[in-house]
Amino acid sequence: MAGLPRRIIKETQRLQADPVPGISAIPDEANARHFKVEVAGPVKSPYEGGTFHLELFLPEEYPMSAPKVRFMTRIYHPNIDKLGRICLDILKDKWSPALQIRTVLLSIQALLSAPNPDDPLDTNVAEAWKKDEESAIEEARQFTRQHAMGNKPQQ
Amino acid sequence: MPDTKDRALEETGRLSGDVRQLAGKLAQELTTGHHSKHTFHHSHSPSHAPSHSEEAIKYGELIVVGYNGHLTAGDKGRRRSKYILWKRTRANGVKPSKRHLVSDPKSSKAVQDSAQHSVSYTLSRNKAIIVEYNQDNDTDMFQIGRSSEGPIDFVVMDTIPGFQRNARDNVTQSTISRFACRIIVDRNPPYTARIFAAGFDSARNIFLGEKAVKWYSEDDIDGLTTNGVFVMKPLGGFTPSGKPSVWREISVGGNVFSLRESRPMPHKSHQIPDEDNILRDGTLIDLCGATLLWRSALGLITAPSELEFQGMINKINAGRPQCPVGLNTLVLPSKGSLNMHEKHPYVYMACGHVHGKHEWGQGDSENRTCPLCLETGPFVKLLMGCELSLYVDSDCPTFCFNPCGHVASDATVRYWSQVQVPHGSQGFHTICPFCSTPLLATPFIRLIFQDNTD
Repeated sequence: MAGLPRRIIKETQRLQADPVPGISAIPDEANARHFKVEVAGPVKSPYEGGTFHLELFLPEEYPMSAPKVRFMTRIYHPNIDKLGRICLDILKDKWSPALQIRTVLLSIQALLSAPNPDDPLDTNVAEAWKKDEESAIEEARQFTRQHAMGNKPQQ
Repeated sequence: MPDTKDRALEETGRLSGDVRQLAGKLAQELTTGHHSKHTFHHSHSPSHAPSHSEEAIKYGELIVVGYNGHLTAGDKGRRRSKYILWKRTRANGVKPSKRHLVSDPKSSKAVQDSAQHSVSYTLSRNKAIIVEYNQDNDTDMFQIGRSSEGPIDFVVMDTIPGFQRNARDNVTQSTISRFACRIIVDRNPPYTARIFAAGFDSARNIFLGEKAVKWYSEDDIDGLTTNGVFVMKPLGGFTPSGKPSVWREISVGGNVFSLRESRPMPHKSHQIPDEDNILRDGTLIDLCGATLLWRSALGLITAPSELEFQGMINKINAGRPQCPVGLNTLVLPSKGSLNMHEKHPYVYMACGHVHGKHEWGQGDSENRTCPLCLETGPFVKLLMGCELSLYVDSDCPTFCFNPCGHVASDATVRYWSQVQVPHGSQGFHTICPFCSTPLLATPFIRLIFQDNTD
């Protein structure tokens, strides 16, 4: 593997020296472009109390193209599907190289606080959300208790 | 033009009597001595400047607009981007004296006598007026033109705007007169400098041919040169609050006229009797092909010194501005710094965000998207405005001209983007004073640096 770009080194250093509250991102020992991420469910959201595991990968072209991020922990959310894929504009066409790993993770944290059923990835969840928001939120809480509490980090 | 008139009255009032003497003394103090503040200007002074003399008195500077401290091909001899007017060891000024009507000017004594300055106004094939000019011990004369002959102190060639300099630097047809103009400076305080159209040639003559514009009455003989000498004196001076005024034409006799309809038109325009040909700090002189800025020695105290300027650049660099994409520190170049490649700052002209060089966001060939705000516009390498005599104040250089990317202070970019400079035979446009590139509708932008947050 080619040497790690200076930018990735600086980002990694800063993530460790000055972590974002509620978020940890640790690079893989074998592959410094691969991060193990834990996001705490935001307070006053149906995900409160849960710990969500994600994987984040910086492709060769990073930062000219967006990092690849996926939820490893199951989550009931209109913008995140069963496979853990995330519907977030900055990970797609709204990516800018001025964004960083920390800003991406902050956006994901914000997405948990503010689900957007009008731009769904999982249509079933989105429909449920729009039809009966209260029940959907309860379902999300249930999912959180079931999958995101007391879960061990994947190896 | 009530503004201009008021201004003229104000100037006269201010420089009368005791005030005049005081200003003179001040000017003398500022221009003699050790020059601690303006060492830079001195190191660039032409070879015939008085050397190391404590008595050396600097009248002012003429800066060719469109160069950034030196000519593109380098400064050579009397051809440079800036000329400093020093008090001469001996007065060499001249003033008009006797006038003759002759039938054949070429054979007249005044014209043939190479020690005698004269101006010949050809009225018809066999009728000319010759005005003899005698030595004036109270003034120094400085001549400007395209000719490299001895009588020209400051050789000026046509300015090629920065964006056209990649082509060949050769001007095929020059519009600058070989003996374009002369400046006469009082040797005594307050060292008033006056400009006149046309310069004396090697035989100390000025010839206005049959076709030149000229007029003759009982007590008046005067004329204009082919392409004319234009001046513009900013209202409020060369200061952040200065505003450009109207361009005027100066005659061979130093009278002031409104501009001709088109530059070489064979008719004189209206004389403006209450304006004068005195150069004031910030006066622009247009020689049809090159525009010169006059800075008086007194006015130059507001320009930043080389040391102050370096200090301001150091201050910006000490903030360790960062490229938001490469996350590397950017460095504003200073004199003598080598090409720094990835550290060199670039700007997105649409928003002013400063980045390092990278390839993201390239749409069509010209425009790119700023990663910080997604505004689309040109991505331009920043260049420092190094000719400090073009600055109207000593503020931090945190703005740049559009489209060329020359960095200068807020007030400086605002000032120059209002100044209309003659272009072609009757047009005007605004230009970057450091490279002469015409400015765009948004003539400048404030630079936004991302300071290092580490």
